[in-house]
Amino acid sequence: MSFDEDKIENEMEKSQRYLQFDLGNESYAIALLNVKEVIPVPETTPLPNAPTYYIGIMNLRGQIISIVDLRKRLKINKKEDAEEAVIIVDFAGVSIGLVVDSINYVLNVATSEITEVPEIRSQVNAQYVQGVHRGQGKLTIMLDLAKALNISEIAGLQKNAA
Amino acid sequence: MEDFEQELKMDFLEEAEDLLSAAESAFLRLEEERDDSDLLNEIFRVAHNLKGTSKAVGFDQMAQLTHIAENLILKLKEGELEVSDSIVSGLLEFKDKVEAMIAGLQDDLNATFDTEAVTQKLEALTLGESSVDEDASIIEENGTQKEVELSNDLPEAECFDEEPISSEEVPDAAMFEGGNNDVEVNDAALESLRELGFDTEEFEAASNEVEAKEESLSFENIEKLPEVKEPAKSEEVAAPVAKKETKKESGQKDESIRVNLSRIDNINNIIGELVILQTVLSQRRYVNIKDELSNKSISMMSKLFKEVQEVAMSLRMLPLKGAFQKMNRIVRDTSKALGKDAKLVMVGEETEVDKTVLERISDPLVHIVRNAVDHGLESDEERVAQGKGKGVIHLKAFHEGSNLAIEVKDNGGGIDHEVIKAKAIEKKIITPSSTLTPNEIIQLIFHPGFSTKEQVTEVSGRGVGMDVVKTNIEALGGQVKVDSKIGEGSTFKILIPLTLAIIEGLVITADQEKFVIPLSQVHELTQVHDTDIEKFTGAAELFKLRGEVMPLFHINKKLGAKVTEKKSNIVVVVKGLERSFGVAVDDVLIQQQIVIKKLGEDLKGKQGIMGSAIMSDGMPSLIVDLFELFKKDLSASKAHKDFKEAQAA
Repeated sequence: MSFDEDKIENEMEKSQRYLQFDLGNESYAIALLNVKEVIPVPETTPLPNAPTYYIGIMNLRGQIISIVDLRKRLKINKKEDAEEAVIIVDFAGVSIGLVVDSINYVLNVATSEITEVPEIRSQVNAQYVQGVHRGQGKLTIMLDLAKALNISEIAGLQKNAA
Repeated sequence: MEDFEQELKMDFLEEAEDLLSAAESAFLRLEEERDDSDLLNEIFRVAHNLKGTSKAVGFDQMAQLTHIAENLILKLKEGELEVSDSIVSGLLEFKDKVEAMIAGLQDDLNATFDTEAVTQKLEALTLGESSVDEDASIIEENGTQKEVELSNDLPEAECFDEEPISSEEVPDAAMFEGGNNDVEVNDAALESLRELGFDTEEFEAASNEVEAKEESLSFENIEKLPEVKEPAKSEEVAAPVAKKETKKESGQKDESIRVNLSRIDNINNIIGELVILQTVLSQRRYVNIKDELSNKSISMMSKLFKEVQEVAMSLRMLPLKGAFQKMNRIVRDTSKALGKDAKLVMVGEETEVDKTVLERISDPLVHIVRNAVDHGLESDEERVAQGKGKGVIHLKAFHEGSNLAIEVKDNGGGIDHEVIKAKAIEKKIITPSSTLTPNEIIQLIFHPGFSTKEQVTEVSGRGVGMDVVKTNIEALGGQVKVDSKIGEGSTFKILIPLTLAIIEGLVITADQEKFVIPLSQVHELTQVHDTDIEKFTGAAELFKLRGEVMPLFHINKKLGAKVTEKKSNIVVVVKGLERSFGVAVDDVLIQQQIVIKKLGEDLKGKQGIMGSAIMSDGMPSLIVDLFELFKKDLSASKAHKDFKEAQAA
């Protein structure tokens, strides 16, 4: 491996990019690596016997994708005048769309800037939180999407329902 | 670096699989065309390639084994050895071994194998040891095989043991060696020629000439002999044509590249989407779009899109060739194991079919072909006694509408429906008073647990019967039928939809949502009025349709709809394996072709949902499998019925 590659890898380790968005009155972020694209809220087809946070399936350029309301999933009250959007995330080959309140900006965060243990009170269950970032005058919660979504749980719930 | 090496190894294994299947068909062709130097060159190239690359990626064992095989092939190529039955068998055994090694290595890259037996055999063959010695070595080898290789498929190993060593028993193979065997074959051939009204004198002369030049067979004679042989097969006119095609192909290689299937699916997705957008535009032509040029362009575009879509769909299609060539081997091994003289004639191996279908058609086909040789064809003695020629299995593929049709025809004794009937009554499949037509009785061989041959052979009849074949084919949305004439043979006909990606579907609504039901599950649509429905507390509702009582389910309730009030009297009647049932729906919209879209991993395994479809408005709808959806209800209602019957009794 060349010297340059080493250097790049080190830099990658040091800082990561996150997509910052709002859920209710709090600000959250997920790793940009998992984000495929951002789209306006699409028309969806509901799925029978689905949990309430499961909005339905949509047709994203020929691919069928599940849309989940992240606010309902995390039991956060939605913002009143929210300009909703959908973030399409990709997890180990599974694409899921997340409905969130306004999407803000891409955050460049050094790993050292993320506090491990959140000393704040959030509406979100602590197990979904990866860390907290302080910056630009506010707190941003780094969401552990894999845990928050629990893909197998979604699938499991539906299996039971059917 | 390890990742890279692993990737390299996995790539090689995939490539080796291809090389091997090419090798197998070449080996089998070698049996028929023993002096074909092009063929030998091709085989040598494959072996050499395999040896080189396996060595390069560090599979030393495979390299060693291939090296030994290469030595043997080199001797054949140089003319130091002559192709014989035992050599072809040895090569096939070698191919099986390497195939097993590849499979093993794919699971564990560090796996080691016992190659002793095959190595010994190949070495013996290379030294040109006589067949007697070889016989001894086979016995010895069999002993070691049983001890060391538990995983080895025993029946297959036995196929090789029982292989006739003298070439006399295989007239076809001996064709080109000259001598009496030739004349024998030709006599049979000439007889059928006479029947067909051919002037046979010329051919007789040709064969006599061969007899005269028994010792040194010149190239010209080889040219002539196939000529004699081919018209003999003219019952199946297409057969020689197919054969010629194969020959041509070995000369010029089809150029192709390996493309990941997901990429093809991806392009299909995108094109599907384009077509939907195109439809939206087309609908707005002249209404919202006034510009003449735009309107023209839109109509041009629709034509092009249609074409592009067809091309993209065809990317998933592969010729049946691979699956068919496997049958060559099946017929060869099965017939040798049974001591029957059988040959396979293939037609239409270029017929194309969806890759997924191709992968899943192979097993049922193997079963049917094996059965045809084992149960279909009579023993050689019986055939001679009846004045019948050689046992022939015809394998034929063609397109029939939007289906792929495959026929497996044998010229054996046919199926005696009386025997089947007796057996079916004995096995309590039907009652003696049943009034089935002979044809319907024959179809009973697909019934679970039906095997007429008293003696369970190693080749077929290992507990799994034709019912498995039927289940497999039905799982592909296809059907299988058998037609038989006593004394003339049987024909199995398989019909399978060309692609699993498109189904014929019925679009219904339930609680304002559209759902698709595969048309194959819909037996009929009917109206059921409230007065026709009987309700039982705690059990399913029942209704009567032309005297048959069946349970009635509501798709609305099942799919968790909020509104449960009935909107119509429409009931979809589904005919199940054991019993039928009705499903009440809100409305039936249209019957149309549906492109099945896979659901994401997150939705896999959701009961009763087999996929989704994108409707003409671009919105996704769910495709429901009614059998799965109402599986629990069905068993509940059956239990209820059984209980009632028990109570009554």
